[in-house]
Amino acid sequence: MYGHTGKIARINLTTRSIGTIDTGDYESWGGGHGIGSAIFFDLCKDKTIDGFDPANVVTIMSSPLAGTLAPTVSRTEVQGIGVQAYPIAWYTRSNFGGRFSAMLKAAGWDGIVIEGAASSPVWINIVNDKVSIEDATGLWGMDTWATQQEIWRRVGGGSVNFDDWWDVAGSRDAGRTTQRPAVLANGPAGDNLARNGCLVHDAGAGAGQGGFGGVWGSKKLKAVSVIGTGHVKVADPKTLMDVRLWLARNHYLNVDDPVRQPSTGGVGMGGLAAGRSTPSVDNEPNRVTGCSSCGFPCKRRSESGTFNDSQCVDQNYWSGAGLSVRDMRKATDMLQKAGVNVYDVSGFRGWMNVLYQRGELGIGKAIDSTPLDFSQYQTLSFAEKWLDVLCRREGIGNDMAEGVIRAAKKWGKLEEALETRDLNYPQWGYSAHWSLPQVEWCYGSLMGDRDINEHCFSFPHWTAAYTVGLQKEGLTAEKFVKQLTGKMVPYEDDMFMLDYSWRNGREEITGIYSEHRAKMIAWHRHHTRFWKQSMQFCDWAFPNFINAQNKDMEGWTPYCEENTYKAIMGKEMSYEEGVEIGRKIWNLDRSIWVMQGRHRDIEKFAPFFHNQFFQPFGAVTVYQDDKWQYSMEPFMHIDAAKFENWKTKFYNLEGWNPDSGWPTRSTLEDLGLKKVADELQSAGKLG
Amino acid sequence: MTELSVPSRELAEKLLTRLSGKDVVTACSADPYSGSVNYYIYSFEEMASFLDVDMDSIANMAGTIHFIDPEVLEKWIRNTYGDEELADAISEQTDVYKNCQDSVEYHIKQLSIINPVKELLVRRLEQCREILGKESKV
Repeated sequence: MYGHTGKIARINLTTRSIGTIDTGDYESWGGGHGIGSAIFFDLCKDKTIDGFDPANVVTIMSSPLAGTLAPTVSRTEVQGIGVQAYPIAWYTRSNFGGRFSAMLKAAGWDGIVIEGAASSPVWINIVNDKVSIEDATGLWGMDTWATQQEIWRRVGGGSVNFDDWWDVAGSRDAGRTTQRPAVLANGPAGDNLARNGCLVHDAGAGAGQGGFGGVWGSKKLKAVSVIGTGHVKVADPKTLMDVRLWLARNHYLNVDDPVRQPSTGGVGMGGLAAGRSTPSVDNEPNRVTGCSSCGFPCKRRSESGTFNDSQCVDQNYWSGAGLSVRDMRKATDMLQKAGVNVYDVSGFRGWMNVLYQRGELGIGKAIDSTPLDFSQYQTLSFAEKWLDVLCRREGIGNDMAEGVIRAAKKWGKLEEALETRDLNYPQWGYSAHWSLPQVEWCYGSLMGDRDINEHCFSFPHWTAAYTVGLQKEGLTAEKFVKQLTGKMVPYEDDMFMLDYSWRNGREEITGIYSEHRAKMIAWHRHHTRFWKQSMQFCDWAFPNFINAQNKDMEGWTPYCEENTYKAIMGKEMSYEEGVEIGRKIWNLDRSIWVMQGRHRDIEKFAPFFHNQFFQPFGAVTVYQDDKWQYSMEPFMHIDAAKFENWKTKFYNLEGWNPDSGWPTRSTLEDLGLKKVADELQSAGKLG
Repeated sequence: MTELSVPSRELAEKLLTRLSGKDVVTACSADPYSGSVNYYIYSFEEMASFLDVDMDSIANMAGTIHFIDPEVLEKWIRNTYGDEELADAISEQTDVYKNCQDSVEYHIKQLSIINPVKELLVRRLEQCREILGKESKV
């Protein structure tokens, strides 16, 4: 078997038993998310349970391509019933980078399945083939960084110098490495069952969405550590190297001789000048770092050691609140150590401050913020205190640990806040992101389980529209649309998939309420389920539709994905075949949501999403006056009635019953999912 | 940069007053990764500190933009604080994009005046603090 190691660790914390699952039994699902969902479906007998229930099954899956030279795939997919979404905490997923995935493969495992719940705190120790459940009593309540350091110490027997070679199992023949164990750790928030608790690996790689920190807390699971000295079998190493070099020669930014100046193309267009999305502070020296095998490293490590690896939205924890950039970075480090999901709390603390300014929240007010004194809101010490009370569930922290939506509900503010957009959370209690005008983002999130967090279209739209230089070189809106849709197999002939018209009569013909948009959303859901969440090509680099560092602006998709897969796995997988497997995975996930209570009637946006509001950023492509153009659409919002009509088009395209949104037997059986259809039928929920 | 005359003590005090209710104004931040996020701004001082648009960062997809529609800002300063001179100076800056027909070009030019407008706000804030004897923090 190439790519896959062939086995998945199956760990039951209730019975403290450790077994294996043969990866080959699930190989038709590709890997990563696909295999995770299939295992969850088989092992979690009652899909309607709460995420905190011991019977919840959590999968931690690598990619079949990880642990090799394949670019960007050292990512890990975490799945199970979450505790964050509202009103139903859906079966969900989260994903993190770093070196955990590659290390898991080096240890000989394709993934880990966690069942049951321990009676006292534990951590899991994986050293090559050996898996053990260890006592975590002394680790409980510890922050994520201290936990990792302590586990490194324990795995190394207290004497290992990780700057040199060491014998991982006490003898040279058992394997040697220069690496520290890769640890995925829960923080004090998750230990205390916070719904916004997240899992953190190394300094800043985190599985944030879904509340898996809280889920692990309910299982009394503090951390998973893995160290491996093996390797992954690659079918054709030379071709893999050739693909990697082809990428570097034709698409990477050559800083000495760029095809175009870096200012004409960022990460979404390929050729990211690494580490650029976090500005340096006071010219502090720093160096670039990235996940294992990444070709486009996006993180940085600073001389002072602050803000290491925190690259994305985590930097927003206390932004826009009067802190200096240096203090904002310190606040972000506090967040990483606490193991708290920035997407839930950055909007949360801002909204709490709004309530404070209005006199509704504060010490002794209607919403009593004790022990938090919001007059100190613009200080670093308050940002630290805010996390501390959440992690300890002290005073108002008990509400904060339930997440912003449930706290708002308890305070009697939810309906009002979702009407006024004080809480910018359009679906399932998840924060807005590029939700508008990139409608694939909000549609995909609503048809799914969470904020999709997939930049497939927002990155190229951002760069193409804002980069006048590319437009002058011929990247017209029409060429842009043609190039993107040309890669969207099997719908590649339909340019109107990228018509973002939302008014003026075109919206239901070719625009955002049309059948073309239904195809686009379907393609996006299917594509990402396989290529992004199962093969785990990084969201920040794939798909690469257009590339500013390529002379012809041609992106590396799908050549890179298809040829990387073939080189590692020793068999063909066309881009379209991958999308089709993604459709199967998407339908399995959909069926699980249906069992949990999903129905057409509840697939609705928050009320504010139907009102006109000003959102100035994000250019899109529109077809107007018989031509394509880039356009800013700052007032785009969703018409409720037209969206209902669009849902019917989408359900029909997916083969779901348009009255319920439930998959039909014929759709599921065509995908080889007869047993899923049978289970839905038993539950009275077959479409 | 447009020279601003020294404001009256009364105006300086007003500009340093914290706002509430309908006087609070909405600004926003954005980056290619996180999308657009709204912020309520409760004071002139906060606005001067908040605004920041690095035009290079837009094409590079690096860093975060802190933005407000300049015309909203102009009206806020004129109607909430009564600072006609500063509002006029901001209005003058908006001339560069008012006639743009292309929405993307319009937006980029809007972004390009944010930092010059911020400089005006910072200058005004310094004047206020000089009059009232407070140390500048921005």
